[in-house]
Formats: sequence, structure tokens, C-alpha cells
Amino acid sequence: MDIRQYIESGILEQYVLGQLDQNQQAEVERMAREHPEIRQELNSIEAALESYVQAYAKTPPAGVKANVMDEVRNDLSAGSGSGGGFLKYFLLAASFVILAGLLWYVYSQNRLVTEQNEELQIQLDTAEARLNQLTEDCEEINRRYTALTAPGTRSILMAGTDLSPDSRALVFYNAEHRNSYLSGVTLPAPPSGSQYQLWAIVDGQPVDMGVIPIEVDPTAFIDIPYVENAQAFAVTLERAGGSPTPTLDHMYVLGQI
Amino acid sequence: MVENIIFVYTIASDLLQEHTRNNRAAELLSARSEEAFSALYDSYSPALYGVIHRILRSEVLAEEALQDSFIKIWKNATSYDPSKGRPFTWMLQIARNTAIDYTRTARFQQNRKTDSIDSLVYDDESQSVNPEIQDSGLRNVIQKLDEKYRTLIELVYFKGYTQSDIEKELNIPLGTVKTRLRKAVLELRDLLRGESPGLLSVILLVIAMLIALIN
Repeated sequence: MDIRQYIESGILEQYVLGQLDQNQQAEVERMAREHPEIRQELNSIEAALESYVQAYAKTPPAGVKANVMDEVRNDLSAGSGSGGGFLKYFLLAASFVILAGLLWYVYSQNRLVTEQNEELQIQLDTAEARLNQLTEDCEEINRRYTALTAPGTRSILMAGTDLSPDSRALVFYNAEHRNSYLSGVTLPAPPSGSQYQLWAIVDGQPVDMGVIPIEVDPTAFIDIPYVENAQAFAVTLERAGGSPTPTLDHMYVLGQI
Repeated sequence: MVENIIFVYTIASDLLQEHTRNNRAAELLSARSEEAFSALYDSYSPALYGVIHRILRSEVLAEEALQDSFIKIWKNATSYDPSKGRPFTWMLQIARNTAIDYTRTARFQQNRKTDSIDSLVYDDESQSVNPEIQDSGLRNVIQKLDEKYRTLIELVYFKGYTQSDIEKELNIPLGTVKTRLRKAVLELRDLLRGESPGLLSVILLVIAMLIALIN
């Protein structure tokens, strides 16, 4: 568009005199932004009309200013004025204090809860360990109970020989279920380098049933290999790890079925 | 010599003032403080009251409208955009619109049943004779403006006439209204330019100051 022509058209005068609708106003404002000469022309028109208006200037009655300033003061104190300013800053400070307090409370609560949590975790671990122990114990008892109450189970007491009259031990033998257990082992502590070994006697021949753990409790209920047609059981003292054949003059206990 | 310097200086400082006045008004508008708005009121209330009074021609209504206008200026100051126009023009627009809204009220209509263009244009003297007008030179300039142009500006500015209103009232075609409005403002500008100093005056001021320095 020809700028000169645009200026000559009189639209700028209409703009300044408030004769245009919103769309036309926006158009003039756009043109003014894009073309400095239009901005300049608008400025001149505004200045001319301002001067025209100034010719009619008239001092207004004093009361008007008081009313206007009252309104201004009201507005300022209701919003961000000096009166409201104090309250605003007070509220701001107060909210900071409350926020800090809240944060501290949350922090200390959190710490307390964490501590309690750790304590509870320890208690829980202890309880769990105890439960596991009890479960194991219970299984063990169940294993023994099942073995001992089975109708086919026979208990064979191995009594002490002349070598050790106070020694004894029990073998539980079940030919139906083909299992056997060693229990109630009461033997003198074996000298170092030696170990007790259990034997079954089948048709007069000793059959190795393995060594007995060195540290054995009389309450232990030990699974031992099942030997068919065993007629007797005996324990001899052998070198650590056991021997292929029993040293008969070191026989500590013996029991017949 | 000294009188010359004072004369040239006065003219040049007017020119400078005109520049700084706009910035100052914009600053006062955006300050949002009681002091700033009070200063703004002091500077512009006579002009705005003049316009409002000229539109309403009733002390009572003009007072109310002026009060409304300044409250609107206060409330809308944040929406004033300096890139769209001068602050004074922006304030004038608010005052004009407020006053023109008042003309649509029953109270105004009662007072002005017999109003006519003639009374509007020709009762200048009786309406506006005002001992408080500082710038009588400005009034003389306005009086020099071609009567048909003055009528046009008065109708548009002080009566809120639209172009089609003018077309009917003055019985001239719409296109002519537009061009005549431009000519009116142009002539006004020409007349004012004769009154106010240009670049030459600034040069004169510099020369005048130099002379003053030498002396």
C-alpha cells in the first residue's frame, strides 16, 4: 500500500478522533508499527487535537480531585498500597514461618518414623529368624515323631561293652520303610585322630554304616544308611574318617535286634 | 539582547517541554502511586474538564463525568500502551467517551432538548469565556480555523458524531466527510505550526546561548 495515499485518506484523523471500529483501529495500529512515517503523522494529528482541546482548558472545581484521590487511596490500600503493604509483608513473613515450621515438623516426624521403622525391622528380622528356627525345630520333631510312631519301627538299644560299661546308644530300624536312625549316643569323647564308626552285623559279617560325627549330642536323631537284614549293630573306635573293617577290640557298644 | 535570548529560549523550552511532557505523563500513569496520580490530575484535569464541560455544558454533570473519567484513567492506566498513542490523547479519549455516555442519560436529555449545531459552534464565547485559560494565543489560533472545519471537529470531538451522523446533519457525502476531516486537522496543524517553534528555533537558541556566553 502507498503510505502517502494511506496518510492522505484521512483514516489517521478518524483513528485519533475515535471514529473507527475495533478492526480498523487494529489495522491503523499495525500500520503505525510497521511504518514510522505513519506513527509520526499520528503523533502530529494527536498533538494538533491536543492543542485544540487545550484551548478549552478550564480549572475544575476543587472537590472533584478530593473524590478522585479518595478513590485512588481506597484502591491502593485495598490492593498493594502502603496500608495493605504491611499486611502483605506480614502475611508473607508469617507464611514463611509457617512453612519453615511445617518443614521442620515433617522432617522430625520423618526421622522419628525412620527410627521406629528401623527398630521394627530389627524386631521383624528377629521374629522371622525365630519363626524359621521354630519351623525347623517343628519339622525335626515331626521327622522324629513320624519315624518313632511308625508301626514297623523297632528300637535297638546298644549297651556298653566291658570296655565302656556306661556307654550306650539307640538305633531305630524300620524294615517296612527301609530307614534307620541313630539317637541317644552316649560315648566317651573320642581321642584325637580317632572317630566312632557304626556297623551293622548281617549274617555274622560287619557292614559299614558310616562314622558318627565327632561332636555328637545325645539328643541328636541322625539319619543312617539302611542295611537290609541287619541282626545287630555295634560302634567301634576307629581312626578319623573310619576304617573298612572294624577293630573289634575297640567295640564300645553292641545291641542285637 | 538578553530579551532576545529569553524569547528564543522560551520558545525552545516549550518545544523541549512538549517532548518531556509526554514521557512524564506516561511515567505518572504507570507509577501507580498517590503522588504521581495527584500530579497527573493537576496537569491534565483542566484540559479534560474543558472537553467534558464543552460536551455536557452543565457544571454538575461535568464534575461527575470528570470524576468518573479520572477514576477510569486510574483503573485502566496499566492498559495504556505508549506504542499506540500519546498519553494525553489516551486520557482525552476516556474523558470524551465518558462525557458522550453522559449525553445519552435522561438527565442530559432533559437539559438539552433544544440543542443544535448552531448553539454548539457559535456559543463559543458564552460557553468558554473563562478567565482561567492560560493560553489565550491557542484560543486565537482555534478561532482562525475555517468555520466549516471547526464545525466538523466540534461535531466529531465534542458531540461524538459518527461520519454518517455528520453526513445527515451537514448534508455532505461520506467520502467528503473523511477528506474534510483530514483537511481540518491539517489546517489546524498549519495554524499551530505558525504558533510553535521548529528546528530553526533550536538553532536560534544555540546561537543565542553562544552569544550570551561570549558576552
